[in-house]
Amino acid sequence: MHVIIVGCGRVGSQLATILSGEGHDVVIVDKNPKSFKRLGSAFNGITITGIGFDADILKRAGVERADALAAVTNGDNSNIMIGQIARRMYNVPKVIARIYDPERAHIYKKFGLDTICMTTIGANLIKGKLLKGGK
Amino acid sequence: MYILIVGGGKVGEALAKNLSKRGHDIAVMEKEEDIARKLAEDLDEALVVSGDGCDPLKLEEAKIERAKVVVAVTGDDEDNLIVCQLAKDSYNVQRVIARVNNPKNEDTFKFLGIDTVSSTQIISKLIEEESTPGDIVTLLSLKKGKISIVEIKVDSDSPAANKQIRELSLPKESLIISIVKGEEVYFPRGDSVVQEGTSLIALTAVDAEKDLRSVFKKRKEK
Repeated sequence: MHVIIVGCGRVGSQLATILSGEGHDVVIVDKNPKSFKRLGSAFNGITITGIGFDADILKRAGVERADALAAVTNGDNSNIMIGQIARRMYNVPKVIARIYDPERAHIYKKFGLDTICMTTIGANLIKGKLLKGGK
Repeated sequence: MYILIVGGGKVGEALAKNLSKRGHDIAVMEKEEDIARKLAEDLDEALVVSGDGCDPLKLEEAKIERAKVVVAVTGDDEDNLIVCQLAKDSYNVQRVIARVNNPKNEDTFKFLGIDTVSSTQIISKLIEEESTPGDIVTLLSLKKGKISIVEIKVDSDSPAANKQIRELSLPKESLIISIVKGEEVYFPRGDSVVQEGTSLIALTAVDAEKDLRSVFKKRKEK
């Protein structure tokens, strides 16, 4: 699969390394080239320095033929914008946008963007662990 | 009319002042607390809300459901897009306008159905015109810079000098709306002659301006 990952933070770099290790064609985009240092030695994909919602950068990353895209920059709004460009302008079959704000995640899910809200997921996981095996 | 402005920078502040002078009911949202505090001191008429305009809860605090117009003028295009989408799709605000800082993003906004004003594009165009005098001068820019009313001086070496208007191959999207000779203004017909030394006022699509120029101006020697 041709996968584009926008944002090479902790999540993005790990995701890129795993996918690339599994044999997928991975292109990772980040505005800060230093962030690519996070990529493990197993990563054999392509890195592109640039703003993820710049349509030119996405085109360079091969958005027109991508099978999937994950928007995992540290900005909710950037991720929403990238997600919409990929989904609506370039019809990428599978697009996920990571959003911290539960409210925005909920709204954009309603509008048809596949969103993942780490805040809600994290809170629920922690809650589950806290309550499990209690007195 | 209640207008909500998101972004309390120079553009947002100036806009708030101008619109409240015209009697509109204005609220400005600014996420930097210090800037918001300063704004609240400077803007007597407007309501200042300290908070992120991309946060739906904050938008509700600013009474977005009452807003007839929402304008997003922060320095970040992604934020402006989200503010406008939330306003339009979540709160059914009828008129939303986004400032686009990077002209590259204009197409994206358009595709996603958000009206834009590109400050960068407008400023660079104005400066370009100011720095190339003697050419076509824009008198008025309309429809967000898509069409404009321009003034063209007809010199003696103009290829159009002393020809009838109907003889000129004007671009389809340009129209000569008057001929100015000294203090006198004429409303031209097809048989009106474009005399040298006169000025023409034309309405033109900005995209056709180049073709319009070539009708009246001798090609510059390189």
